[in-house]
Amino acid sequence: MQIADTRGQQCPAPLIATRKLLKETAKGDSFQVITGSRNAFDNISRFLKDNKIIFKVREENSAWIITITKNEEEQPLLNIEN
Amino acid sequence: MEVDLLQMIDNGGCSAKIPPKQLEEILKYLPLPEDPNILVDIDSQDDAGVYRVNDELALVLTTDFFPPVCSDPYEFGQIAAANSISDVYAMGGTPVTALNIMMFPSAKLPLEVYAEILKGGSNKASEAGVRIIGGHTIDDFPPKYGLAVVGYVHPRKIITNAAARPGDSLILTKPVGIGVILAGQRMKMTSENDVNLAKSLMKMLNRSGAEVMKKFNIRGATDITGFGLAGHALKMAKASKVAINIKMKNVPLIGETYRLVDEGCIPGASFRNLDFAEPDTYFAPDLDYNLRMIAFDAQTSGGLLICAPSGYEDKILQELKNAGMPEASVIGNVTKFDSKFLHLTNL
Repeated sequence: MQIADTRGQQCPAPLIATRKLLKETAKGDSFQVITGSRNAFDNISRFLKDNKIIFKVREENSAWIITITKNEEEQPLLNIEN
Repeated sequence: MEVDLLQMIDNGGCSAKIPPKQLEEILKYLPLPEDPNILVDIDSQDDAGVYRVNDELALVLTTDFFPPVCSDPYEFGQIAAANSISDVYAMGGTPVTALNIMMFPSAKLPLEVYAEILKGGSNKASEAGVRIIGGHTIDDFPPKYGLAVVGYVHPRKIITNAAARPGDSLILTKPVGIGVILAGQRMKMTSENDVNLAKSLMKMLNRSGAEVMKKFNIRGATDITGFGLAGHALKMAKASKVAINIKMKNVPLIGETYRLVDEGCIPGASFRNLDFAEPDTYFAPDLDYNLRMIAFDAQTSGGLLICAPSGYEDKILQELKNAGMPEASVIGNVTKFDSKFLHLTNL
């Protein structure tokens, strides 16, 4: 699984990494984006929800680890585990 | 002296505004003074306040300041001044005098930088016919600069947010995408050409646009700044108690704005602006996601959004183009209020 660790990077770098991997990943596959910024996490999750993309998030050591699965087709909304 | 002001900030220009939702909460607790001579106050969320002196004269009062939007201090001064003065133009006024507002880290930056920012501001003020007659500086990091501007307007010729009427067409005088382009610059995704385009748009005074508005006796307009095209359109729709419809595919964009957004270069301010406007906005189910986010992109020294009475749009558009705004476009219209103040569609 591809992982983009964007800790220490300014907004909107984490969202840019998310969109890049979303384009590169095959349908049905997953990837991870890690950010240390609450704002970046909020923006990414808003982006994913608006685009009906399924994801899970884990908060760990002041970082958000977001696991995103590229839709086969349209999928149900957000699924947060904490 | 090589100083890059952009290295000092996360959010420059109007992107650094407090989120609109929070601002609305705070303003609820601010008592509004009552005086029959106050012709426009914060109640209509307008661009500037207007105070009647006599039957022939009212004063337009406004202030704006923000952290750097570009690397060069002189250009920053020019842009901040153009942005501050714009609110007077948006109200149909003639800007006359101004005071500098400066926050400057005197221990961290050479004083030449301070002087360059002020020179840039003074240059733009002169171009607008505005005399800067004083100012105030606080030691602070990062630097912030702007003007408090006073203008004149005839009390019966004020242009406001609250005068959009069903049947009007909406004309936008400058392309949007400033926030995206500036964020792209920080991410090193923007071409130099687009950065220069954005800077020249931010430096451009809204004076010619205001002159065209006066010529056609326009009553409804606003300028597009930190809350984005959609945010300012919404404020206008609420103040006018109408619905505003924006066709996002007709909105002119700066350079590669669309591609940058498609690659995820969406500034945080866009999400905050979206949060604020969402309850009052209808999004067409097929609305392109990138265009939806561009609608909320925070502009610095953006264009005028003009309510053109039906039948006059083409003439006004032509005048704007002749006056140096080649990208001026009809981007939507005004209809009677129905359940949502703002409607965003592709076309």
